[in-house]
Amino acid sequence: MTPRRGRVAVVAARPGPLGERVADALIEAGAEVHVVAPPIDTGTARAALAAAGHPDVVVWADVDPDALTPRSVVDLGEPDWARRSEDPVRSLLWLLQAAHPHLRDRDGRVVLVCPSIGLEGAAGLVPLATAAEAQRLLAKSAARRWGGDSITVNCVTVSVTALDPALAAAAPDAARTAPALGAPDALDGAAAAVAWLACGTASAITGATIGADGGAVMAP
Amino acid sequence: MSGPLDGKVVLVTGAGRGVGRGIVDALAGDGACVVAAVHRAEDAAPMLAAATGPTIAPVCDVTLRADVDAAVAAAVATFGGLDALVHNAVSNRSNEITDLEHASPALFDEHTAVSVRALLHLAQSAHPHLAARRGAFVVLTSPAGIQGSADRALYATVKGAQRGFVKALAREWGADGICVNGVAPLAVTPALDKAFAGDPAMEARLSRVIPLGWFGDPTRDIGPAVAFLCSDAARYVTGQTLVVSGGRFTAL
Repeated sequence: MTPRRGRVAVVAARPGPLGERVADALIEAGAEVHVVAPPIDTGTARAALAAAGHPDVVVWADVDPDALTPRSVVDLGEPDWARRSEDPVRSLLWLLQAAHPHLRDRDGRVVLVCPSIGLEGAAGLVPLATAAEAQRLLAKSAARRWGGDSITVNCVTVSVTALDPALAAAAPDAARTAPALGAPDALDGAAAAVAWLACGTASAITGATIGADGGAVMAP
Repeated sequence: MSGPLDGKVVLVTGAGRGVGRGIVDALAGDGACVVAAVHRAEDAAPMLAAATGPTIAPVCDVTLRADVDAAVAAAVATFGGLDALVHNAVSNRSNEITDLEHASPALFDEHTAVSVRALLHLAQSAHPHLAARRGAFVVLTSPAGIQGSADRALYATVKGAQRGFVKALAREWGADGICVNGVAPLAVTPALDKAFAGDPAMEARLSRVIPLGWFGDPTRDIGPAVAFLCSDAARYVTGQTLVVSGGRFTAL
């Protein structure tokens, strides 16, 4: 099997390094890339997918910067909690629902980039960990349901310090495990994994989570 | 007779029926004072009539912060404190088969409010009391929150969210000496009982994929696992999900 060039990808990402690296990696893999910025409702999702023409790849590559600001659970107000832990899951759900008719029976690919602290937790970032695991389980459920439609759904985890280097000082618990590979450009590594899952020879992989954190978490 | 939970005060949400009721029975059997928070007022009287130890049964809708605060306050006022909190309540719609493609905003909100946002209410309300006694916070999650679900995607999503919450809160509250864990049970529930009654062959068919050969009993199989996590015996266990499924689910 050879990688398929000429894919059409819709990338959900707000302006910033993560979305830009992922878009660059997809373009390098031969994809045409269209970007839509969260938060996303059903109308936004449908419009973005329709504007892309015939998308066969959907990538979620977004983390709300506010959710990367450490706060203890006992200090969180309910609106702040909802914005950090619920809104990203809602946006992803509406995007997946709108994407399904575009992706089915076309070797469709869905890839999520998730913070790796969903796998191991971190003090000060409870809502982010909660949202990350919710999104990952939504992805696994979509993988199970849509496998018969020839759609794969996978996740790539990235460390929060790659998303925001300042967190190494602001939330040291999130940076407690050093990556085995040291500190290469983690976002490039994650973007390369996304591009392989989205455009490469990964058609038999679904419901999987690939750690692109330089070997920090190593879960399971 | 003394038990591992003698003198400990444990609040259980969704205590009126099914797994919640089994947890209450197991906790009481181990000597706990139980705050059996029930969603339906009509479940309170039967709960109290069957109680085998010190028990109160406040009505509590976990989606309402005021109800949660009142249940925690009742625990403290009646029994003098709170050692452990068990969040077992789930949406009444948790067993609904739902196409991911057609899951509605209302269903998402329902699942999220009961399973996840309630965790915020419970954690904030219980924290000072649990910290005072180096207590335990236990969340009933699900194997679906580990493996995903083709036909109950939103249920799996919120159960996964709970696992992320548990792991992160365990790290946040470790300094307070509070252990935070999850339990992922495979158990007979009222809905499953009803399904088995309607299709007598179903139980044997489904049990074939369980190495131990049966669905967990809420009181004898699931409740003791929860009781263990509420006890001093589990004081060095935190941030974990204990899968209690007769070996049905082995991938964590």
